[in-house]
Amino acid sequence: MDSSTRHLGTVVILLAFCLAVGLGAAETEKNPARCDDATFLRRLHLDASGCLPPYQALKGFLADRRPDRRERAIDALLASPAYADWWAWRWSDLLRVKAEFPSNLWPLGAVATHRWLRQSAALPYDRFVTALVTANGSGFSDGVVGFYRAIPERTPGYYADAVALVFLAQRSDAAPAPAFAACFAGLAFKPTGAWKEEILWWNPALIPAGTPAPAAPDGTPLAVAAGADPRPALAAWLTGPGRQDLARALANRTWAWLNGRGLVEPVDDLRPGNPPSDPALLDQLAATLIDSGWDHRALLRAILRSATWQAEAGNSGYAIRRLSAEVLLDALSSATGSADRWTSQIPEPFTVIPALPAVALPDGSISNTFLETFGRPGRSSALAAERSDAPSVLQAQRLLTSEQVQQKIVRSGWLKRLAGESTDPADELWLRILCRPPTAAERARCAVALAGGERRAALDDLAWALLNTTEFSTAH
Amino acid sequence: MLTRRDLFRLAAAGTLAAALPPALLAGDPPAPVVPPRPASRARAVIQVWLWGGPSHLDTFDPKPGAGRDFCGPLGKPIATSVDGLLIGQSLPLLAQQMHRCAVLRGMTHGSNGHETAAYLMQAARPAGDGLSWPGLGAVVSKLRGYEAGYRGLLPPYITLTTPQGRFSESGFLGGRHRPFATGGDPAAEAFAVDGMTVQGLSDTRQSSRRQLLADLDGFAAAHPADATVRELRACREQAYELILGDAGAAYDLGREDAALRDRYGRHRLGQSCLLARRLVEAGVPYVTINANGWDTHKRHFEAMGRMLPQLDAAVATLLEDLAQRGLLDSTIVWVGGEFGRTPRILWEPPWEGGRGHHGKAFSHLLAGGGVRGGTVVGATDERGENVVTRPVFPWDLFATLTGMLGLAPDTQLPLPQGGSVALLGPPPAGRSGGVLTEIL
Amino acid sequence: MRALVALAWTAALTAADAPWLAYAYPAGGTQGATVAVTVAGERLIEATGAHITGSGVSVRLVTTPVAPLNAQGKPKKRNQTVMDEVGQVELIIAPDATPGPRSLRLLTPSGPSNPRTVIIGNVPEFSEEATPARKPLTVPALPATLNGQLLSGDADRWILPGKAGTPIAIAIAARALIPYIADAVPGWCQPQLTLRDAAGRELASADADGFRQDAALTWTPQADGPLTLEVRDVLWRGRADFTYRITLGDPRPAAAASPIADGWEQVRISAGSAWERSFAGTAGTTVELGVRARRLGSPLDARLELLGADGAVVASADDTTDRADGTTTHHADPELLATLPADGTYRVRLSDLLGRGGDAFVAQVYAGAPRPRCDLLAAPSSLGLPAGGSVPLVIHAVRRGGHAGAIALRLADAGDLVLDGGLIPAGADRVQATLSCPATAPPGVLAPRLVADEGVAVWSDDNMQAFLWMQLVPADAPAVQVLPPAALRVQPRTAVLALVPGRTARIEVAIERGPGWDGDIRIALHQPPPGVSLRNGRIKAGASEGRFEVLLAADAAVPTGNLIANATVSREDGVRPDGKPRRLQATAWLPAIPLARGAP
Repeated sequence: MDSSTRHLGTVVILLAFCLAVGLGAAETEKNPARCDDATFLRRLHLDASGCLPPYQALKGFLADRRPDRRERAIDALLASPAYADWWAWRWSDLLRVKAEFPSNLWPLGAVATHRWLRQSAALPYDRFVTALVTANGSGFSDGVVGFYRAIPERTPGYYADAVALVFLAQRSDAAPAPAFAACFAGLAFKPTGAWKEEILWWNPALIPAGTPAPAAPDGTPLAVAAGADPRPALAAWLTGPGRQDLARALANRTWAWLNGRGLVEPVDDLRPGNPPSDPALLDQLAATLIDSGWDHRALLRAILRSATWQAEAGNSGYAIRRLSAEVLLDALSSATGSADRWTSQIPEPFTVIPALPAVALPDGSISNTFLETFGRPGRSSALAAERSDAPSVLQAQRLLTSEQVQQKIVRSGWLKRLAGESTDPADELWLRILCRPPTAAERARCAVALAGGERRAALDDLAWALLNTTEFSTAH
Repeated sequence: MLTRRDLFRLAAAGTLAAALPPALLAGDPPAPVVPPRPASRARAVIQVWLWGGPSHLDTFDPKPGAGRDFCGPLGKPIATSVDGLLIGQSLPLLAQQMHRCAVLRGMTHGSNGHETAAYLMQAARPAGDGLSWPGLGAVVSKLRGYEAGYRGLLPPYITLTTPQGRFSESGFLGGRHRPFATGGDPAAEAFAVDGMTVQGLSDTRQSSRRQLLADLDGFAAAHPADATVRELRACREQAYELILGDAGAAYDLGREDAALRDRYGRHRLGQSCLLARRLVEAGVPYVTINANGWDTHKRHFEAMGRMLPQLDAAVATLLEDLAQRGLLDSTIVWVGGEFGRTPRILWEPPWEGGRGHHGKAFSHLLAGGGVRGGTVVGATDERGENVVTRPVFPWDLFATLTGMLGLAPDTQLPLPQGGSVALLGPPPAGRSGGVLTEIL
Repeated sequence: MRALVALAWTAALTAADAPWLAYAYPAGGTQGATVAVTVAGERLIEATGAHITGSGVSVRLVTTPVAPLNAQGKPKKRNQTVMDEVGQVELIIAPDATPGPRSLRLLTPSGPSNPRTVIIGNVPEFSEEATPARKPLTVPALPATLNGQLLSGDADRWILPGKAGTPIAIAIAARALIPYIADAVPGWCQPQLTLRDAAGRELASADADGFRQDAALTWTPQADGPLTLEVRDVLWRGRADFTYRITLGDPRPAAAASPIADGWEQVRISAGSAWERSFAGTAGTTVELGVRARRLGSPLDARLELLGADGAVVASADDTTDRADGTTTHHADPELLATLPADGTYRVRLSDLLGRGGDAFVAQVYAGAPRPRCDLLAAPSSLGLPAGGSVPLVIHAVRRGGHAGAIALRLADAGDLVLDGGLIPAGADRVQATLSCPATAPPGVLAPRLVADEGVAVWSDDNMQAFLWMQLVPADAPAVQVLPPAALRVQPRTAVLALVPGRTARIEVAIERGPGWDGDIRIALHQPPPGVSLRNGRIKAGASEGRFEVLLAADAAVPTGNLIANATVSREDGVRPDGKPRRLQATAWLPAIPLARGAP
């Protein structure tokens, strides 16, 4: 055969191969390929701790060749304090932990509630819910009481709505059943001699005559002596065997936290008329939670190990989405190594926090323009819709030209160190910022940028560009 | 969380009880809801928000007869361009502008907490009714912004220079109607609006950065069909247009006459007022100037000695400037804070001559946009402690301002979980003195 | 400067003029040490010395407080705090000085400042260095006491030696030094302690100690090695007056159970249940019920109820404010007095308000005949008294158990001091009185005691919390500083002022003036009772006697208590830089004049 025929033959074989692969690709769309290791670790840390993977941990993982390295990484993260921070952050949104209007927890109360949430990450979920529903005590020392204190309209109906929304992910157009609201009819607050301190207690004398006997949200009567606090019985009903609502609500919220979208959307509107996109999966996740003894880590572990969650990004695999406000700000900070300083003028003298990740902020009233621009919720309600992860032009402007981002680059310690060395900086730049090694093309482009002029300026430009890629600001 | 019963309750205007003098509760005539004005003149609002609560005795409601324990060293108010109207002696320039202004001396709401009072003044709703209502700025952003046909490159709701941070300006209207905060200091040599310029970067370098970013964003190229990726890229392109385009010109105070800049005052408040005028000229419908430092619990008169002359120069020059440019008729200027300050001075340590919070009686100033100048609405007692005639509640002010802007009270505002509420309900019982027809 | 000299002739007229000591740092030292203590506050520029209570410790003023100056020598722009004037005192602690708290005050020509607590210890002490870029200080051995100051944005770190199996008890004193800071919200420094291992892992943390806000924690390390103790305010606040002391050492043995007083009974509450005691009562009898639980450290939030035979609640009490316990913010122990409505069987019920219970939920209960008694407090604890003159004070009565009678106070250990108006009228909870001393009294600081049959008055100071509330905080001892004679002395000739509604009453006074102080004298009433106002309060220039009149409104009740008045005279003293004449003022307090009902 002459060369042109051989050439043609190669092309035909190649075409046939591509067709076959293409068909195969159609097949694999149903079972998308697993993401690579670097993507996995970045995704794991962002989704289950709200932070980029630490640089040393990332290098160690990429060098790890054990077959169960992914399972080990999942277990290590779920056992770390970073997970407790993430849990406290997610639940601070639901409990509306905010010093000022409208929650009015007051800084001491916000800090106490956040601390309780962080410590309670170790509790099984049924005990976590029971503690919140049956809470009593001082807002400043028993942070668990923050659940009730943050509800500004202090009426039984609103408390009932809050329990239904936060734990059962249910909201209704109608007022809650009077018998369910009666579970909260005796909640009372008394002040102390400390400014703005309140103690929550159960006062049967507050219950108006004619209040029906307390019942669960579905109408099941709760066996409670007259005038006694029905909330322990209500908590027992919520967490009792055979009750699926509590588990399905958390399973759905957790799925949404890890995948960007719940099996039921909106995540706080679980009802018969709004079925899940995959009922069997939701039931299976709920069963995992209950069977593990209400261990929410087991629930996360099940999702994080699944092929669905570990699928490659895009198409019908893992959904690409913009990072949430706090996560993105912390990613900018940890990638450059310069933390944010926070202030609050609510207490006197003013609060000044020299360095703290945004995900670890104990108070919704402590904020900055970046977080507001990127859609951090105002915690005026417990609705998931309050958080906005949608892109906007103002956000892009902020990443492209804001002084804040520029200062992070300027103050970065490792960039300064790299500027003084003469090695190829591409690996460290890509690993620290994008959490993966650079491709050959990227390495070449990096070398071109460095050849252009002064090394520090070039490094700053490269860091700036990487921080502004869509890859950096998305979970993928 | 809003439910059907909330809508019903809101329509019936349930209210929060607050301690009010009985005289104000009894015998108030029912106030009419503002009818939509077919030809409203006001198209923009410049809100000078005196954050912390300015003292009404030292500004617009002086009480020289009350003695030193109430007036301190500011016991000699001055005559103004309006016969019979006296204002604080530290505001001589504003005194010459009073014929353009309506002084609301009957302001009252009774709340002494910063965050609650700020919410009451800006959203005009009682706290704790189940919703976080938006402030007037966010309402204007919603009803006069992009969704209503605003085409400007500048955001429709701008804050100079940082947001208050203690309550959510946009309430349930959500993040899209949060104000854009410029950051920086307009009085500084190089005023850089956050997100418009980067200090110390040449144009060449900015453009080579842009190229570098395009080259390195392989991820975007690898997922061309993904909705999120496409939206992020589109926002980035639009951001470049904003940064490299003409929108920045409005922020460039260097284009103003130096003598005019001097008259506004070479300080943050003065230059912010000048910048606000430029933004309104460029078509921005709502500008808030957050002026800090008015929460003078301690050494009040020392602070007033610094801050009142700044306020005087800034607002007087703003009114004069707007008038000369023919903008005053279409621009409402609204000056005030979340409450006033206690008339009785605290001389002992640590206050050393301080004033506390006073939400029972205080003053606001309105001008422009169709306000009838030279009017005084409401009066306080001889010490400025209580309102004795014509109380002005937050609802009254909000209803008047929305009416002047031509916003119909039954305009529906969408709620995040579905459903909607009317912009303005009927006046809350016992907490309304009526729309400010006296100044229209 | 001249204006300040004028004030020197005047005892502090109001709190606005009184010297103010904001903080002292380090707030203490160990036996045998000489410690340089920074003091800061306001109106301390004229300070002449320092004073400390108790024996075994002496103090001297090393550097008089001055307002800081900038590079041009002008006063630095003030940052709106009350601690601009900074100086130094030296504490000399004897090797056998008794450990414990003392009160430090600065002495000035207008009287002593308010007290600030310094604590004498008996273990080695360390202070963090004052430079901003501090390295954490390594504590060589335990036990030890650490002194620190939380400035804005600060988190102090200390390195402690840890030995496997040896427990370390860590307790911080912040509220114990300064219980209320008037312009702080929350109203005090509330530190958070966090203990970390060498790898930075958090081992333990605490921001309170049960119900007390000053934190404490105990930790037993598993291995030898350094531990890092981090201290910061729980809300990340900081300021120069956020001072603290940390004691490190062996855990103290559990305090012995409090003795049970006569007539009281010790009980324990179980979860969800109540303690009850029945008794037979007759109509019209008054019973007193009291609980001591939180005061003894019990977590019980006690609620007392008195139930009738039919189970109806006759009387109940939950939290009873106790003005004599000003530093406690939650007065959880109830007290009540009830008159039985009918004959029959009654039950006293004690339960936990939150339905909890257990071994720790102990309480002491009293249920029986009322025991009228009274706690007495006198404020302020710092008084500047010109020789020959008077100074006002307030004596508070916290009555319990139905105590209603008049309380007569007298001085003890008071040298030549005289107490005027020391009678708290029946039913009143306080009285304004005055202390006076003869013109020949030598300068010095006295610590008089005010005693009555009901007990000894505790000297206290009114402290403000969070811009709003006032609490009385006890001081360990008073300081009455006898000052040089004042420029003016006004002595009433009226021993008791008889008032009739609608009529004026006249008070004749004798006047002594210093040379040059010949002008008109203006009398003013200080916080007069309702209905009482001044008439004709001007006494002519040069007069050595005079009178003023007081009117009781026609519709007012005749008040009890005392009339407190002061007299002011001014004179010219040269010319100010702007050409206007300089005026100096001298003020004198009159001794308290008891009020009585006059014959119509």
